[in-house]
Amino acid sequence: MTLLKILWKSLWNRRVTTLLTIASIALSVTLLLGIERIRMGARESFSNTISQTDLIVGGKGGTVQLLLYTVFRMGSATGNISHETFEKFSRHGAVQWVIPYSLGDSHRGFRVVGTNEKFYEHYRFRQDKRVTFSVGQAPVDVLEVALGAEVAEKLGYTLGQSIAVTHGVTDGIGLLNHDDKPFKVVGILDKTGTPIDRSLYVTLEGLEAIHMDWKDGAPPRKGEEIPAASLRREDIKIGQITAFLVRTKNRFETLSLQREINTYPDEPLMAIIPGVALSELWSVVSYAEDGLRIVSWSVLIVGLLAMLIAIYTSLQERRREMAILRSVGAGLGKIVLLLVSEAVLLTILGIGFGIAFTYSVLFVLQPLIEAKFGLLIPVRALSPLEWVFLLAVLVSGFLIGLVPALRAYRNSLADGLAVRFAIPLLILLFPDVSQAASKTPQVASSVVWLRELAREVTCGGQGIELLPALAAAGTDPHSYQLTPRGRMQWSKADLRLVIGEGFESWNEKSAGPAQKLFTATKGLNLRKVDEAGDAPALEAEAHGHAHHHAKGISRFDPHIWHSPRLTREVALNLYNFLVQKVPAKRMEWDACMRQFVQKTKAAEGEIHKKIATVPSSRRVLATNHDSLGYFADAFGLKVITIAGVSTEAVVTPGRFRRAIEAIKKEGVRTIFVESSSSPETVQKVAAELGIKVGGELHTDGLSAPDKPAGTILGLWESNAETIVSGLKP
Amino acid sequence: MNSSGAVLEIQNLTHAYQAGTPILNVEEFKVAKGEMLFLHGPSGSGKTTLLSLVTGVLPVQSGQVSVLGQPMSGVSAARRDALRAARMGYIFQVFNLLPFMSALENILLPLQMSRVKAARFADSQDARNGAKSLAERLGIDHLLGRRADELSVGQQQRVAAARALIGSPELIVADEPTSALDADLRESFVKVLFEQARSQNCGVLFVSHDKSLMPLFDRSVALAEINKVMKGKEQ
Repeated sequence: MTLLKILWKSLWNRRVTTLLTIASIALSVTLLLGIERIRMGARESFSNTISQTDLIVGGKGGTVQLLLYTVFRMGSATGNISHETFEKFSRHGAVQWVIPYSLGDSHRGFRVVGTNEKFYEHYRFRQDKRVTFSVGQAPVDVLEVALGAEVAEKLGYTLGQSIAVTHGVTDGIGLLNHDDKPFKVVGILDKTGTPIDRSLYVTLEGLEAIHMDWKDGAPPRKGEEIPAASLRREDIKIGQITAFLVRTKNRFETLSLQREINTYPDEPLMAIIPGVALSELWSVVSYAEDGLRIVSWSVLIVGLLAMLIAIYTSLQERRREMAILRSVGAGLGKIVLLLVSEAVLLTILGIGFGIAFTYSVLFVLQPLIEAKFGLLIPVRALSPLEWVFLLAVLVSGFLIGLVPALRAYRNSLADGLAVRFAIPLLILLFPDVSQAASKTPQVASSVVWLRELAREVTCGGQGIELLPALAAAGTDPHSYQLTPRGRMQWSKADLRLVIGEGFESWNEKSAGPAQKLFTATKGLNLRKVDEAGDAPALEAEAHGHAHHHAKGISRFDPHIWHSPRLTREVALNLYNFLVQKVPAKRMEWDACMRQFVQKTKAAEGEIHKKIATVPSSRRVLATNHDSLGYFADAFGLKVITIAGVSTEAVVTPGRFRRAIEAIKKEGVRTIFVESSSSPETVQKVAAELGIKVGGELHTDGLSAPDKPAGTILGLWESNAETIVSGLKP
Repeated sequence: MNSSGAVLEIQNLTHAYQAGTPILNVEEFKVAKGEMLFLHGPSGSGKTTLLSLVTGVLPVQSGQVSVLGQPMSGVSAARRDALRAARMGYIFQVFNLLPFMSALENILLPLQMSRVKAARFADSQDARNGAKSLAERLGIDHLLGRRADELSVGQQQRVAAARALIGSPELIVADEPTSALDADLRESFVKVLFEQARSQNCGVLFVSHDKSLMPLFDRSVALAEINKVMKGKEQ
């Protein structure tokens, strides 16, 4: 069992928070990697729009413009190239193949490209993918057309359909249509994810043919049209094309050919290298890329902050753990190591899960994304850049782990071996926010004592609303009947405080959900009430009052308010219960909680001193009702209780006699009356034995607030006072 | 320095959390080897601070503290930690145990922190046997597999005692270990702790405000008497 095992167990103990922290880091990492992948995919798709083409040749103009209209089918051409020039360069010794493009017409916003069979043969994108047909074939005849996948899909065209080409590039239906010479769809291309999908493909002759009878860019006049039926491919002479793509035989010849074209004397030509032009174009749009990066880093920072908060919060709750480790000899170095390893471990797990998650998502989504967006996101090993990112995440995790670790170091120096109450970070930072988040809970108490206790530990009811106790001060809580108003208040309250152990018999059915209920006697080491036995019967038998209800006779003494120790325990439990509901008040309440504990200890000490003034042989408490057992235990008094004097229990002559005997045997000179029981029997016994009645003891809770026994401490003090003055010789 | 065979020697020790308001000022205080010493004082009299200084958790600001013949003043935190780990045991008032570990794991914790304590056992199996027999003598051997937070306060304190005792420390420091216990449990706790400590010739420095336990000890000292800061306040 090493430090690592302690760490593991501690993390497992906090597994929900731990898992959430890991998940938040994993999601951040997924997003970071995912966005990086999309960025790379976009970039690669972009630069792979055209492959294996060494030069793009067009009329003189802008580099980007040429790239846009040839490859991306955007914008318009700057000039044309004569067919002779094209022929000349296609026969050039350095050239392996050429693909001519004739552009300028459109159909419903999609460009129409005039080209020849070389296009279907040689054109490549994404390294080595060629243009293929999903149905049909390449256009051969003059008035045949093949459709890009997107065109066919958007317009819903099928094979054999006739379509008209619009002169110029217009969206929708053009004004100047070549209606007289409609094209017949003979093929539909496979989806490529490139601009190829957004064009229609005809032969060079086809484009030449529809413009043959046009003059100066205007349609032919009536009677001057050349009828479509008379067009034959062999007869058409191609005058001009817009651009052409060149593949050289040898890459080294590319540059010299480029120079040759650029300086071609007969026509103003321009040749560009696609790769260079593409990266030039990409740099124009790179701000979008940077934007994506900023987003992913922001996400990551949020994820790491979540980890900081998680560790920091848990740290505050773990001050005790730290103190324990310190006490068994762990140095501060080990504490720091423990916390830093925790952060690093969580980060590593987060990164691991993030990578796994990224790849599984990619694996599932890659075909979908490619089909939908034509974006191929590469599924391959992490790139060096991605490793750098992940390393940066890890280092940030380490640094973030240092923050709580150093904090723990400082705490540990300040705390020493004292066990502190924890203060969550969020509450330190945003006390008002966390307070505003939840409304003030209404707290109902069954008896005044509980209400008083709640008041004490919450600094007079700060952060909670204390409802009046159901059984008002000075009344007998045993015989309390729930009034309709009380019932409403009770069921409406957010939190309910009860004594338990059958003390509140009316509450048995209406206890409500456990997380809203605080039972004071729960978890305490209570005094047993042995109602069956004979010997302790003197003390216990009489205690059969209201706790004996129809069902379930309580076996434990619920009168915990007479014990300073139990009062402190209940106060601490109540504090913990309430802090869970109102965590924002922890710090304030903490101080009051401590004060209260000190107060009770001081009072306890005073009472001890007072009792000590009574000779020890006289420290016998004879009463008619056994509810001061805890008090007697706490202050070293012996108890004799007269059996059956309680309001609801039956007197048996035998036990009555035994009580009398015990009183005689102990030489008791004073007998006390308990507040909630009838004094008559006591008076009778006192008269019979010739002893005095020592005054009234407050037993079943607090009396009215203005009386001495109206507070938690006052109850003990006034009972002690009564007992001491009654017992003193 | 350790001529008298004392496990703890304090001279002219003062400590203040805030400059100008000292909480502790002890001229002289000694605990002899194997002695069961009861140090009593009300809350706020500087008990926990004194113990933090004695165990080396807090650095000594001024004065001399020497534990088991080793100085606690003027030495590095690492050395103080090592001394505490190797030769002392500590019992808190409450919340002694790491709640997410079993009682046995809690008892064995000091052996992870100190090679000296671990070296008292041949191997980890031997250490577990040692923990078990200690638990048996403390009456908690049936609880060893239970998670610490499932134990009652009294059981937890006994587990803490076993943890303090394991690996034969020479001084056990206990900070009000019985204050959360019932009166009848208190005495039996102290008795069983003493029995084991005596059998190991281990001294116990026991701090409490509950004077009813005093008769069980070899000697008792009121912190108010040795702490001049408190004396000043009371007068």
